[in-house]
Amino acid sequence: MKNAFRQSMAWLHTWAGLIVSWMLFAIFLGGTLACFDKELDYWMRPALHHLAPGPTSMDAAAASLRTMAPHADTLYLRPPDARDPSIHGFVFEPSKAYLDVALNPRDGKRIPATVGGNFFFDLHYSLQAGKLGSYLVGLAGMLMLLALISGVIIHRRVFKDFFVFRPRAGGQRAWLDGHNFTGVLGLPFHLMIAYTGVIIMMSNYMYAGVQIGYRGDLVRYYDALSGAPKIVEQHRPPDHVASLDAILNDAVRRLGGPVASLEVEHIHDASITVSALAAGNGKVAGGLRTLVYDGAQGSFRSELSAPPAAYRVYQFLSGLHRVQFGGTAIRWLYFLLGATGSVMLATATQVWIKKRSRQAGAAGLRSGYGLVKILNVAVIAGMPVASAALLWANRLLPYDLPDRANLEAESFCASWLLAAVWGALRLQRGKPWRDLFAVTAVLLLALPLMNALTQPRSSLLASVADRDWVLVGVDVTSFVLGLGFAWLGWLSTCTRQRAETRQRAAALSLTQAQAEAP
Amino acid sequence: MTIWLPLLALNYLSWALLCLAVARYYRHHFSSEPSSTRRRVLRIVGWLTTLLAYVISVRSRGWDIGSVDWCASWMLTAIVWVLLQPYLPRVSRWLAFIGVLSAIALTVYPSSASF
Repeated sequence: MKNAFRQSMAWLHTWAGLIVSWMLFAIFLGGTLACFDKELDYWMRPALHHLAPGPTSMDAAAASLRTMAPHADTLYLRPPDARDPSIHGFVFEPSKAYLDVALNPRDGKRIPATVGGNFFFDLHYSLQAGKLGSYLVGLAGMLMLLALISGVIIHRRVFKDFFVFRPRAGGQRAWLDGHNFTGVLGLPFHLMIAYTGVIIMMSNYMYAGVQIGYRGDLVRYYDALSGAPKIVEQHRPPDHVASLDAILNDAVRRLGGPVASLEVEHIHDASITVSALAAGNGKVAGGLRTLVYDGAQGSFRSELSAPPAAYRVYQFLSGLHRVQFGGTAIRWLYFLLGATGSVMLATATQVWIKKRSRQAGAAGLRSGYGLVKILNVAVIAGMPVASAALLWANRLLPYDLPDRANLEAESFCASWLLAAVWGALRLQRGKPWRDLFAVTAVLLLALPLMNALTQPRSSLLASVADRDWVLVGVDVTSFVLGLGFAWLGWLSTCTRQRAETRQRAAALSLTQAQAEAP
Repeated sequence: MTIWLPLLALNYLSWALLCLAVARYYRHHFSSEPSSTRRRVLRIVGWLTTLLAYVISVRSRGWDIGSVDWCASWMLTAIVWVLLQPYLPRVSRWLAFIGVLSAIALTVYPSSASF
């Protein structure tokens, strides 16, 4: 009975894991890079690197947002913080695409568009495929939870083999050790990240409650959940609009800390209202304090009562996932743990194919096995190529192109497609892993040089002189990761050679044995 | 910021001790059989070390963030130990000493590092 249970769990682990493993790899790698989304944003916007000193003007930013989206009812403005010197504007305009722009904090002018580090964030939660994408991500997250739990059940000796890693064992054994130890040692992180990832989008996945209680209006649902007050429109334009900078200053003083964002509602109506949300420095759950101002007169109206416990739990869980609470060090730890998760997924697909290497060899590339092999190389070795290419595209595309952000995204997709096709073609004869790892290594190692040539004022040397550690960090991290990929490329060359030598030796001994046989 | 070095160093040390408490790894490192007393001491001190790391983390950063910091560094140091010790057993042991010593140095002379 016990054995049958374990066998069924092994089946579940194998197949629930395999069908989503490539998608999960992309989600994990995207999420890992999104740990530093604002830092990448900053690196990708050279216009922000040498801002003239001066005061921040939220009013200029709001005015420029209103000309960009004249029919919008609500503006969201994120004031500059330690990680990002720009003002971020977010606007939903009826029957138009969602507008998300970076604005110059001095004059509110729009900064040349880029997909920014946000690209990896979007990729992480929606695969850049809108609602359908976020459903796929949710499904992958739920299957990952299944795979994690069944994985613990089928791992016969979680504690006994806790420290086991036998890199020299070779073949399937080494891959399985790699998969097991990244999985087991990172298990609390993987469980937490898969669970909270699904919870963040919970209302989208379990839609019935919102559908019945709020007729499918998610905004109204979240307002009710967080206890936001209902604003009654007065149907006449405001005769005066208060300064957002004055409101921001007052909110910072009242909160005794920074403000995460300002929400300006009903901007065309006399009921114009400004809410200031506290930044959550020092708490996992985030700010949780909201001050409400009269947007016409600029006077302080009230502080929202603390949200109900259920919402606080939700905020805590999503805070755990989004890691906006503890500074750079914890983001680095999440980055490394995310990379560990990516390794767990990459080794998982390798274990699957190595376990079936005899059948896979016999069936050739035009088979299910071949498809797995192709997907392995196309996703696991292909996505790093595309991610590095995105940073190159950011610097190489002219800054005055009108459709710049889209072109960057397209260069990401095109380079991934190219890498995938190359990987698939080279699987027959050649070393696709080595090729793609080498390309990634070259792109990442040369990134600081390319940056210095295209943006001399933001080069590594100039940034060190300016003590701009974020820019230094991106260039240095890219170089270090490039060294890592060069090492991986070297490893995949050697492994292949070793495997071939072994095969040749085996074939030789076989022919010898046949020759000696009477 | 100075909380990170003690946190990482203590968690790393605790994994080293807990791992050496297993006879198989003790043999790999020292080529001799550990007595059962030695194994028990290694295990107890190992658990106490990680408990100390948790206490330090929570005291300096609060219940919620302290717990997250501790847990993340706990997992990462385990991964570093498991990756290092089969290849470079001696280096992996020295790293535990160097880590703890520099954490103590940093606690006693906090002005020596300003990160």
